[in-house]
Amino acid sequence: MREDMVAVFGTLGYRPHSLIPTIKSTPGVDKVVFYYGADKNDPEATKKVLEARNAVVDYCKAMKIAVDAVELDDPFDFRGIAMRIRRDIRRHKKENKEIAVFNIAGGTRPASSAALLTCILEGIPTVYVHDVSNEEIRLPMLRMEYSEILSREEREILRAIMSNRSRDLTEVELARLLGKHKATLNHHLRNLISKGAVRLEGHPNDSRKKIVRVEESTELLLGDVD
Amino acid sequence: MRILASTFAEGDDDKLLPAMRMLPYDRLLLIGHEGFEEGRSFARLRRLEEASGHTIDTAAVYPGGFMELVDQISEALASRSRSNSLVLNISGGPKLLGDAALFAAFRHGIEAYHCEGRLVKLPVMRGVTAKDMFTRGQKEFILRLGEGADSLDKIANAMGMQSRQPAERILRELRREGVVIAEVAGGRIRVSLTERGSEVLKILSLTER
Repeated sequence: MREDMVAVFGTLGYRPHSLIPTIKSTPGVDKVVFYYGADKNDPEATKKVLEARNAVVDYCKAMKIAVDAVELDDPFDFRGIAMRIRRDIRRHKKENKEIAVFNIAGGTRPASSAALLTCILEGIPTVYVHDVSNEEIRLPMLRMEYSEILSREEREILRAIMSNRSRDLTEVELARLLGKHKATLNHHLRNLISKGAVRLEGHPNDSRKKIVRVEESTELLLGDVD
Repeated sequence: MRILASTFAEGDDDKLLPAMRMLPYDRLLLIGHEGFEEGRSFARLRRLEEASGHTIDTAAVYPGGFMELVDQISEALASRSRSNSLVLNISGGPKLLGDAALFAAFRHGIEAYHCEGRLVKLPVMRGVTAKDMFTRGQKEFILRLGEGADSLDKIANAMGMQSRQPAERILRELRREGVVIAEVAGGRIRVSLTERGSEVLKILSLTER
């Protein structure tokens, strides 16, 4: 299938120089999506970040490149940023747009790390620009496609727990929901626990029962499981 | 022993304290740029750890490129994780150090956290690394390439295969995954690792043997 659009993603802090070189060095860029944000209680930081944002937007406009400047509500909310970026990347992929590269050099520490995490989970080429030398460093592609590592049964269990998040499912209830024998379910649950994907919690009203909970991180992971 | 490893720089003690409160551990391992043990933040943490009868384990990394940092952190984590359980907090130190630590966590399948205000568990599956995405035959193929076998015939021989056919199948699979590239030169199929393949080889070398 033809890929109609080449996009560059990035995180942006105070320095437009950390992002613009990647736009320049990527052939045939049609769109730039970047994430920025500052501590709203710090007027100096807000001013600097806005200046950097405007510099990147002006550059893109001059080059006739479409640009999405995405303001992060909280640039220190690691999980929120990772979820947001992952959603956008998956949307671009679904629309058959090529994401040429993700520049993680700018922005807050949580924004940069959240972007790197998303790139690893989604298999997006990633670059870093060194703070001092301004050298663009291409990171080796490290794609962790957990969907290939988890067994079909493990994926099925995670899906079932996630889609019944509002209920406190015990092991027995989960086995019934999935139409599996309790011993079979226990075997897969043990594997998921050892991988750190789920945990068991005591039932508040019945000490013999255990509630199966997904770890918070599994939600970030679920893009692979879907 | 349970080890809490964390990236760290002077001034990060307040940032690290919530992780120390929320994650159970016996010994603290701090990873930072050379000289980080001389600051006041480190001294404060050392006093706290001494109160429980422990010293702080340290691993100093030297400035360099991103992958050099990843390699140094990987080495520090690998040497301590052999007989201990280890979790990693990536929120201390400069941005480059934290990102390199995250990369290393995926490389080794080490449970990782980000703690800036609140503790966020990252989706790194414990004990699961990129090597788990490959079959035994594929891993062997990559390792042989790493040992210097640079043609399909040499790899098949090194793997003890009776015919070249299974090696060709693995080659096709690995090419599809973007791990190797192959070209015909002088009547031989020359095989080499891509950048991704080199990273997979590094993971295999660290964890397989």
